[in-house]
Amino acid sequence: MDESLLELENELRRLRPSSPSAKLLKHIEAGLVAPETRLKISRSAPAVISTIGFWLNWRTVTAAAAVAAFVLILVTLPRPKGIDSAASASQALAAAPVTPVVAQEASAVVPVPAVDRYQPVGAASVLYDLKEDRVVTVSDKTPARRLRYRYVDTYTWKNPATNASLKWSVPRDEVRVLPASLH
Amino acid sequence: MTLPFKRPITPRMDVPHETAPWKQWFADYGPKLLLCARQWTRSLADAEDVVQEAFVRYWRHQRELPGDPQALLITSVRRAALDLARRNSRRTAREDRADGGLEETEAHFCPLPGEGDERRLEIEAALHRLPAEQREVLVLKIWQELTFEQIGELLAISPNTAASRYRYALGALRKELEPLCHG
Repeated sequence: MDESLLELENELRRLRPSSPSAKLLKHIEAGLVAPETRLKISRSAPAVISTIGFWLNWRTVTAAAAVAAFVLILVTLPRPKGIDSAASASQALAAAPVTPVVAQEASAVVPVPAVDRYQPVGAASVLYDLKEDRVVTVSDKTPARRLRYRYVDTYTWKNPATNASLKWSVPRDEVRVLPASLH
Repeated sequence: MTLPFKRPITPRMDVPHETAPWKQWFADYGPKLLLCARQWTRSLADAEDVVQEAFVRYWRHQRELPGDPQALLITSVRRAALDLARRNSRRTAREDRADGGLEETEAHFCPLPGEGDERRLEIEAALHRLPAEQREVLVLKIWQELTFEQIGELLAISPNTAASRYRYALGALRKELEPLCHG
């Protein structure tokens, strides 16, 4: 990259994004102190309260139990020879993320060997289905649409020493109630 | 055998987020999240809505999960913005904005200390004129400080495509701002 682009990059980096408004902070605070039914307070539709909740039934619980069992099996598998058995996978997953310490002496940098423990490397949430359930009536007698959002959240860990990776996917449902627009 | 996940789990952050109050955490990271949200929404109000939704969900239910908190939140903000866009898809063509959703009157950045507003406003106007796909990569790279790999994963593009869009964005900005640099 040429020098003028580097200078432009540095100039852009000196800019600081505007701070969120006091109103946003207040709405977040209200959202955090709201009871477990979780009220979604929308600035654009202040009269509407949508209820977000998890859809738990035997299928979801069974799927989660199967994933948990798979994870337990993986972490109890015998490790290949040459790997320190003291650092078990379960300890690695539970441990704090590693911050490699790089020793610097004068101008020399000592390379850090790959750490033999699982580290979080990614997280993703995929919306795979969106369904409109039905029209409902909210507390102020106005019609509203009930929408069901279905997600799969996937978390990935990787062991740099063995190149083994672990993915954990969890289904999640959200039900939202939105004002119905008549025009 | 210990379970793979035990609470609390310290993420890779300068401040352990499970011990810092949410206000301090949001003061540090909220402005960048809001700036990113504004690339994916039609107005500041919508951007604040999606940031609020993503942050409340994260702080209540996801902050003890392993994974980079910023990566989790940015993914969540983008998903919330896409959901909002789908919910608002019946907006009329008259309400659609050709500018990709940037507010023309609300500043994206704080005034630079010791400098006038003129240069900041010129940069904001030049950013406003970038194509949306280049602008979002630029924002994620410069202010959210993501790598091209992380940007690619978030936007479902290759890291090379992300890097190309970034270079094009910088080149376009340099052309827009060049007369001012020599002024």
